[in-house]
Amino acid sequence: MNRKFLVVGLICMMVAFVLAGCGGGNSGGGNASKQNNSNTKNVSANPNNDSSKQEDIFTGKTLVVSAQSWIIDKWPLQEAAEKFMQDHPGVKVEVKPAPDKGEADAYILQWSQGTTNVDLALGGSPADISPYVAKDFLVEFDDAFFSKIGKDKFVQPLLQQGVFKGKQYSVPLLGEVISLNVNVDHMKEAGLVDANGQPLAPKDWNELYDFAQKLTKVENGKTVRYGLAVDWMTNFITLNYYSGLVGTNNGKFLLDDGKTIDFQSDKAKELLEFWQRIVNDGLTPTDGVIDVNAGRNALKAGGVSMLWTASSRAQESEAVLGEGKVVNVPLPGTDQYGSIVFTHGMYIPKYSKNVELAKVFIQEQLLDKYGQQWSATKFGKLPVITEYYNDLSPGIQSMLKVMEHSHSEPLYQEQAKITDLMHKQISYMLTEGQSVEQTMDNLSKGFADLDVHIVE
Amino acid sequence: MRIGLRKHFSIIALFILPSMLIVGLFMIYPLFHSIYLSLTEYNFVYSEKPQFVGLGNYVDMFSDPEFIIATKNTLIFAVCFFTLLMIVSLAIALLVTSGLRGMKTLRTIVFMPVIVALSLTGVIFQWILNERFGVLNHVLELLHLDVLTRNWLGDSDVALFSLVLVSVWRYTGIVMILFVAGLQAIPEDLYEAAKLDGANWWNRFVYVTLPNLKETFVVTGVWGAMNSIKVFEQPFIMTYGGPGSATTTLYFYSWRNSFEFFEMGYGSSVAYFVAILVLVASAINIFILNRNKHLA
Repeated sequence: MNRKFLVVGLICMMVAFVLAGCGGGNSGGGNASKQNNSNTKNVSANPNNDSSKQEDIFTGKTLVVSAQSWIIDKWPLQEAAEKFMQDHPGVKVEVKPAPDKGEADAYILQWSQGTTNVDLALGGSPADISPYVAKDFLVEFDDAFFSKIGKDKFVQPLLQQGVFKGKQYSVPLLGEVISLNVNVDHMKEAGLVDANGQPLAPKDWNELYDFAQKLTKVENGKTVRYGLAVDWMTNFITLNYYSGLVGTNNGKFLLDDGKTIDFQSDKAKELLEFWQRIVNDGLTPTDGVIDVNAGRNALKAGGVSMLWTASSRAQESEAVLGEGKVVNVPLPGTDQYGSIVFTHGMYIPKYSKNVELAKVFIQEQLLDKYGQQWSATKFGKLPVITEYYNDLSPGIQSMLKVMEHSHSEPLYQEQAKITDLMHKQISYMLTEGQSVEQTMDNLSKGFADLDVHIVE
Repeated sequence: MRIGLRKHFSIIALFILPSMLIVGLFMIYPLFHSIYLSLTEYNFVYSEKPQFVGLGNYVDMFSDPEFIIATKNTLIFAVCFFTLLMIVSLAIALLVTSGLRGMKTLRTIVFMPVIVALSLTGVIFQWILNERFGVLNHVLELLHLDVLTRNWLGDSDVALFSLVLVSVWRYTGIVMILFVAGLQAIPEDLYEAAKLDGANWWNRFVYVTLPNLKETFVVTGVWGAMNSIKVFEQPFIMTYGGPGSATTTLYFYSWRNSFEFFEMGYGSSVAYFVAILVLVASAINIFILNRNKHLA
């Protein structure tokens, strides 16, 4: 009998340990932090470091900042966290990585349960953030927030990307523009530079085709360098399609109803024909259809001379190829009609217990000149405050001009399905020989079948 | 006596209660809830609440071109993967148990891919199979086999088979170990008796080895059937279902509908279709292998 009770007691203890180990995480900040691990970077400030700093109303709180993994690499978040803790003794800032776009949604399931384990989320385009707005999960950035950094100081097209239903639900952390990222040495070698040695900008598709042809190198029957690569994977397919139309179609990529993507006009046909032609004629590889990193890797390795994607790839490639070796050049017509801009936003879940602390962190650190310029210089992520461009390179400054008359993608509730539709049909066109006409018809019909709704 | 029995059963209940709680919370409740969801139209983000549509999702599935493609891809993958896996694993297991030198090393090398996470395997093979920078094409060119170089993941004709080969590489170790265990359990006397009767190697394999591996085939068959139909990581990491829909599998399609498009109802119905396929495949496997058991 005693032995039985002993056994039962031991089993109950084991179960208790298991359940304790499976116990839920934190909800909001305010909890003393757990052990350090590779996924949670928790740097505690020593309040004795600077005894002149007064403790403030946030003393004792822990701010949990969740950022897509690439943001942790390409933005000085750890430095920002440390500086904030020095400025606010007694406050802890934890930086946690979140899944990248397309991997999984990091927040919607927990926020739908009325709980959160993050106070501030970084990363996500307006299309990614719109579901959170639709479910009323986010805190509004009101006029009080903008009293420190006025709205007029922001690059307006970027700030506007955080407006949903007339309210500011996210503030941009960084901006991107769709352009051509070109290898300067390759362009010089092919004679595609002006008198100052600056790469020429193609005026139309024929000229861009010509550039790609001159830049493509074939040795012993094998292409050793492609003239042009295009990011056709799901993260850029819609943006690149819009950018191809906006420059050549008088600044338009939607039909007059302001909702339907143009898949049927002559300009749309020209764009798709151009894409098909550069692939069929061996000027462009197709690995960009299935690999999100194919284009940037090829650009950095010298395997491609021009890359049609976000402008930040230029600065990113400079780290490998050397300063000034890769620059941005506008796509046909975008110097006149603007290109496509997108942002990665900062947003605060309304279930956070540290809303005001998160806002102060944004104001003091994430919109600070140092971080914004650091990310721009090293990785080409464009600052969101206009005056920060003054000290940056001419290449980045030129992006400000482009952004100021550029366009944002529409916010569809069915964005994921639209992306899937476009990616599939354009894949069939590029890799399985589907005709351009069939592609246009399938895109139009597929889009109509989705009966899309715009998130206002 | 009755009091003793009651006490006996209470102690039993006490022992199984914790695991029943965990099973109930994490398996039975989600199971029934997802069955319910599969009978509803429910967009997690934009729908107020699930709308009951009965078997509507299941009917819609069979007129959904993407679903049909995903089913076709899954069945092709399953047949190719299962067949190759069984043949390759058994062949290596026979080699490992042959007593030749170096077989322990071979066993370790073959098993090593098993400990590599499947997602990491996908990332590594994305590089190996890259058309321009990949090791595989580079080696083929060095061996003057340029005609065999391909766009392994970007060509819709070969992409699915590339995933099959990666999966075989990854899983052979586990099935090989199961076959090794099965082979080692076969008594030597049977082989000696067969030799005495004049059986050659092939006869011994067909008439001694294979029949005695029946139980092993049941286990490996069920495991193989499950893993050949529940394919997710390989298309997710390596091709994202592309090019086009060439590598979209049912499991991946279910995930996309549920967590990318937020169509929880439809995604659940696809997931249950996958479950039914797995059950059918496993049942067929067990039925075939146990068919003549009563004659043994």
